[in-house]
Amino acid sequence: MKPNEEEMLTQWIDGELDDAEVAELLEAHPEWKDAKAEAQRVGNLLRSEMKAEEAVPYPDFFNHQIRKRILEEEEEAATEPAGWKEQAALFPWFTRFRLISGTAFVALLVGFVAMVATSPTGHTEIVSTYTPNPGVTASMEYSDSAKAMVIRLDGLDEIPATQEVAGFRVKSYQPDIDARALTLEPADGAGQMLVLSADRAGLPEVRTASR
Amino acid sequence: MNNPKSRASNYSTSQSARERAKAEEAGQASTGGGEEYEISDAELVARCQDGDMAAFDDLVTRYRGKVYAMILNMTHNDADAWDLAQDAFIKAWKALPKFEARSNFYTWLYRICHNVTYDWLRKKKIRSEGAEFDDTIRRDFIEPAARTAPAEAIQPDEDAERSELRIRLEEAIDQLSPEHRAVILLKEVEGFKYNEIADSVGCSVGTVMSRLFYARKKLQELLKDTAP
Repeated sequence: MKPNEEEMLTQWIDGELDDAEVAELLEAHPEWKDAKAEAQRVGNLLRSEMKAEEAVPYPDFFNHQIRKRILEEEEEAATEPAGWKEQAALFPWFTRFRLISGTAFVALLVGFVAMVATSPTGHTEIVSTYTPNPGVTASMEYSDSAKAMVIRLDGLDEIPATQEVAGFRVKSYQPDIDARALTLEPADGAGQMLVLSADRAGLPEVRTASR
Repeated sequence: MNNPKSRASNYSTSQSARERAKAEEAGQASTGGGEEYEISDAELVARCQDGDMAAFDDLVTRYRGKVYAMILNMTHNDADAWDLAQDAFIKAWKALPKFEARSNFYTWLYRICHNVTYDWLRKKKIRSEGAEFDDTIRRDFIEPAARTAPAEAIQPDEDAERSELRIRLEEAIDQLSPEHRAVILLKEVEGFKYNEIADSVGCSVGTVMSRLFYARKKLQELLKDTAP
């Protein structure tokens, strides 16, 4: 069938042709006389089950989610540093140290702060470091064998061999953007809990809380 | 026109929108186009372009039922349609600074919905004409990556009662390419005119008619033994 004939048949089905045009069409193609009725049958079937409008489940929540996402995206766009495509969260890095004793862990935390990003090659790289203790220095290199960025801290106090490694355990982890917090509690149930959180710029804060 | 990065200055939902929403939930569906509302689409759009998010909330309330239905008819999945409808409205908000008042707003909105849904279907690699039915597209399947998946529970007897014909229709629709699926649904279900369909899907009127021809031909074959 020629493209023009397809269009004419479509227009006839949709009632877009006048009587003279319909007569001319059917004279040229008498085999089409049932086509309109058949097309209308299919249309009626579709309309019997598929609606032009449906009630959205949880409509207030639907609107709320849209507002929330718009505001989050605009806020993220406004605070994102120029030239950076992503910043990795600090907390996944922190949780790797949950088996280290509390004292050493806090020393490690306050001794070193890193800003991380994902390089164009795909692996995490440390783009800047800060060590408030001038006696501590940080160096890093990517290990192909380990497929990980290796961070070396020199100048920290030695951890006594007698000190227990698993001194803390993760009590809870709150990943919400506005209130990210990792709570560690002493494994022996005594002493203070540690609450590690991050401000909206992603910089870590360490707080202690009495049990 | 405000910087799009900081346009969302008004966070609250207007009282008029809440009242309309309550009427909508009571079954008083809108007819669209702004006929029965005090504020026209054009006025709401102008307010949105000035950063009035309450006005955008009104537009969402006005068109969410149509947007959700259109996407649901294309995807056959409540949770995915929910997510994609939100994506479409968010894209609409971002694109509103470029919207020209002489265009029909809901046709423009439908174009965004079509693009969002089309991209999603393409990524799911829905089979085009002549292929076998894709039995992964089920109404009760929830996309693992869906951000939210609220769906009102359907009673078992209701589900069985409505499912047989609906499933047959969805199976048939799924065998159309996304392009053919969009035009047949916009024509037969939404009642769009040829030029409105062309504006929504981004093609010529002639192409719309041609796609309708082939979509109807295929559906007639697939549904020849299906009774209403």
